[in-house]
Amino acid sequence: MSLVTFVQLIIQGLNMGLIYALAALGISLIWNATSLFNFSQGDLLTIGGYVMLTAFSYLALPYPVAFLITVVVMGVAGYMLSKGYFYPMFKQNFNPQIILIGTVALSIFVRNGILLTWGPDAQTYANPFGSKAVEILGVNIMPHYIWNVVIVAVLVVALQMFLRGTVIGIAMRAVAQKPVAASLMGVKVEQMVSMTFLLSTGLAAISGLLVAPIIPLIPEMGGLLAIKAFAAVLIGGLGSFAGALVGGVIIGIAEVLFATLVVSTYKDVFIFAVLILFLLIRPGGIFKADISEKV
Amino acid sequence: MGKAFGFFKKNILLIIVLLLALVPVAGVPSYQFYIIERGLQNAIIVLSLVILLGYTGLLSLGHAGLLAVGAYTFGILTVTYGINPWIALMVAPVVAAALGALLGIPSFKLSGPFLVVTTIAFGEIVRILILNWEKLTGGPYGLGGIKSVIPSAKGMYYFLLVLVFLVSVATMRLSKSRIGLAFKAIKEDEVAAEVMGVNVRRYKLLAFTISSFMAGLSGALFACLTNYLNPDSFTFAESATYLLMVVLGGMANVVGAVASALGVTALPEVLRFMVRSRMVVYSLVLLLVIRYSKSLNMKTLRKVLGKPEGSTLGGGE
Amino acid sequence: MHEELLSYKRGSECLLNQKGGKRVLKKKSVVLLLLVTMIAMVLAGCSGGEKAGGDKQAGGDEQVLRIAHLAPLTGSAASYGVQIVQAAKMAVEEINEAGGFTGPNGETIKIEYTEIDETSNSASAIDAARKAVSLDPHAMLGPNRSGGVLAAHSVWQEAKIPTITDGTSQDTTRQGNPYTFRMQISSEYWMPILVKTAVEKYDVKKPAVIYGLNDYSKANWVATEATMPEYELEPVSVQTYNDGDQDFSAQLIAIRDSGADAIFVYGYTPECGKIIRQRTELGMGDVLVFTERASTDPAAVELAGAENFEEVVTSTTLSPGDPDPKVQAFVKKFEEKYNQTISGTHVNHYDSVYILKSIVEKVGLDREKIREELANLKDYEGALAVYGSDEEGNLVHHMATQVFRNGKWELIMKEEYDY
Repeated sequence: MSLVTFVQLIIQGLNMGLIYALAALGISLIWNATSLFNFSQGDLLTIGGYVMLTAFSYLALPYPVAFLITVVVMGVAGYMLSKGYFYPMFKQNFNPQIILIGTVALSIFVRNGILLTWGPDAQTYANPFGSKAVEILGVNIMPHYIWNVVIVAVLVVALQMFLRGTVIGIAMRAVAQKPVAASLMGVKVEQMVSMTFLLSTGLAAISGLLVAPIIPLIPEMGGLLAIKAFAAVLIGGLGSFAGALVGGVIIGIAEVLFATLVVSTYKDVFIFAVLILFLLIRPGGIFKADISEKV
Repeated sequence: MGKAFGFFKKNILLIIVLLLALVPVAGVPSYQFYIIERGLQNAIIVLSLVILLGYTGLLSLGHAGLLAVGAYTFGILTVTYGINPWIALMVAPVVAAALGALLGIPSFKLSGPFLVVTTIAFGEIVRILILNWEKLTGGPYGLGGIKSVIPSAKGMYYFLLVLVFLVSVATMRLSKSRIGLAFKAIKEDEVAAEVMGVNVRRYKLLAFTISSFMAGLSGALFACLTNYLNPDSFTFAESATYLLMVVLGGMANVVGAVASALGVTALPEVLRFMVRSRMVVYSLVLLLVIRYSKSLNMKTLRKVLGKPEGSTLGGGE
Repeated sequence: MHEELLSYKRGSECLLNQKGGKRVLKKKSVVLLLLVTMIAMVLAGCSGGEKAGGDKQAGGDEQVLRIAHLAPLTGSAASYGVQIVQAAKMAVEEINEAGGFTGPNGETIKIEYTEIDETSNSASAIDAARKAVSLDPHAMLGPNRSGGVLAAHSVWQEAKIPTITDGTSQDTTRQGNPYTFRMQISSEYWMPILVKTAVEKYDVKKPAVIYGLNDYSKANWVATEATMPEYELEPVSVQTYNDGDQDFSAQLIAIRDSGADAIFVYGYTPECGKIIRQRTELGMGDVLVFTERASTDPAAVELAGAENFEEVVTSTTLSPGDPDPKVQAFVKKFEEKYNQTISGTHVNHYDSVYILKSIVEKVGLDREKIREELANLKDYEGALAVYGSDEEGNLVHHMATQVFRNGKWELIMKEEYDY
């Protein structure tokens, strides 16, 4: 395989990997704050894409406006989800497994709700970053590859700054690490948990709207992406920021390389096998999240 | 009250079975009849989850994979190798049980979401293998021409009904047996159970094995009913639906499981309403049931115990 | 992990008590639910239904031709499921609005048409077929996909209902089922014209292929491959994918590296659209694409982006670019009525309905006679083609290739075959 081909594949893998990474990040955020593994993250990502479709395509709003609306709508939805549904269950000491099943139920609900509302056909919208590739030294680079990297980088940096630099951010981290102490210090635990949900669904929305021009939206998309996101977050290290990013990129690239070098049809089996191996040998993942490192 | 409770329960099951026995003679149209059969077949896999999740507390979202193993084993043995369907019917669950036992091993170390993701991965791996192993399974072309153990429609129905009844009774018996108690101990507190002498690993393995056996049986019956197998029938969506059924039925409740399986599978078709939107409605019901399950309990607890249950601050510790 | 265990322990403290209470409450509602189900079932059974497995011979005083149509209303074929139903419905409405038609004994017959969702999914196709059969139709249309046909055909065989399926792969009429007919040409003729077009009109020398792992796409490739030696062609790269895959870079890059000058793309609409788009994104916009029916769907063009679709060649039974006045008249009528662009999919079922009508006009509402007439159909002139049944039950005997230019399909080649 030529170097050019190799580089091309790496870029493709990186592109998808970033999408997985964003989803993984959302899962880690909620996990840190609540010890809840959100099985519906993939479907929230999908509905984010559909909301953007409605705003950008159906209502023909300008891209930045539609972007903002999508993120706000999804963020608020996440906040309400926490306030009205999940937080009360945490507060009442529900069996964690039951809450976990709740996220599965949510996943089914969102997926079928999308089917009912937007229909089963694959839908997409024009890539706002342009649809012509640029060729650099034999490697084809679509504008959105660069844009996606930029957006994700900005997001990650902004998130870190928010969580470490602002009062709310610090409060959220406090709640994640030591909820009792935090509440004794006057932090409104409920609000912080809900803020975490808001961030998580906001992230899901962004990954969803970045994905839609690349991979047409179908109601089942949540399921397909979710499993890869789960693999990313578990291999990278559940609860770890760096882990989500690294895990996502690893999965994205490994997928493409395996598909090319070995056989494409078993690439998912390969990813799952790697996942199971990690779970058996090193369930903490690559970046076994340290308490001090928690988001 | 315990004894009366048990007797009442046993009676309910009998009543249900007797009512169901009327279906073939009540002139139910052919499609609805078939759908009720599918409901009965689903009841068996839902019962398998009652044992795994309801009793032992192990959550599996990969049971469609075990169903597939049972179904394809039956199909391949009867169609490709011409083996007697009755023998195939007995072999299929065994094969599924063996594979399911493998799934039990990760459960020694993993719990919670880690275990669930493993089961999801398992289910997907099974499906993809079936899809690609064309020589054996027909791959995307599917496996057709499968003949049922009992060719007559009515005969098959009664056979299914009897099987469901037997499996239900067996599950209820299991619940009260030593094994069942061990399962429940594990569900409640693994560490304490181990301390009290329960070999946690052995019983987890047993739970997976029994559950997979039943799932395999359900799969073989599925093959008998549909006469054609295709990997599309065994996706994660199906596993999620079985989970939905078992939770709606009360998780550890045998009668509830049967009712739920029948209701979710057959009700919209029989009553001919909300066929399109049914998954949305079911999942919404499930969401609500989960959310308010505790407040229902608190009310009954207050009645029984007579003291208010304090709610703790900052539940996310 | 330790943390986890703690939270689990805490959560499961009150479990036993909770379960007891839960059980009582759940039990009551469960019993109620169950009783309701039972009663409903019995009522539904006694009021509406035909007996389980009943086989009614429609008598001469029946005045309704019941047609059940298994169409993909949900699932990945849904985008053209709608058009398939619309085409059939157009015919039904035309006939009924004209007052129905006259049977062999002078009775007026109208058509009762019911569409049933076969979900594009083979497993549910069986359920859908059973549902259709329980409506006791005289004839059925669909399902759309070979998987569905292979899965469900024994259902209509057992019920002895003649069924005209869609353009599925060739195996569907080779199952030994005399009740299966196919509104499509046998694959022997279907793919070869694509290869012929590639060689004769585009001078293709190094073809590559990417096909989906489903029976339909695979069968298409097998049929194509069989034709290649005739033109002294050999595929330089053979790639596959799983349905539902979203990323084809690995396969496309491999094709790029093999130096192919054309790709044969076989799959269903969503994947075809994605592949065509991704090939341009990877800088392969100048590699020719030869594909078939799934890509004639406007949804495929939308998914790929119309600018990426230029010069894509597909094989089809119906080309909107066909200058034949009859075809143009139909296209115009369809597009006006439903206000959407027609695609080359099973709008031929418009003719299926008319074929059934003309058969029933002759022999009445007798399923066996209908089946026999279908099997002996010869030179029936429909709105879109001339139909006749070969010994396998394939009804279509022409094939065309078209190319997408400036947002429109243009006809390249059209051939009629003997049967």
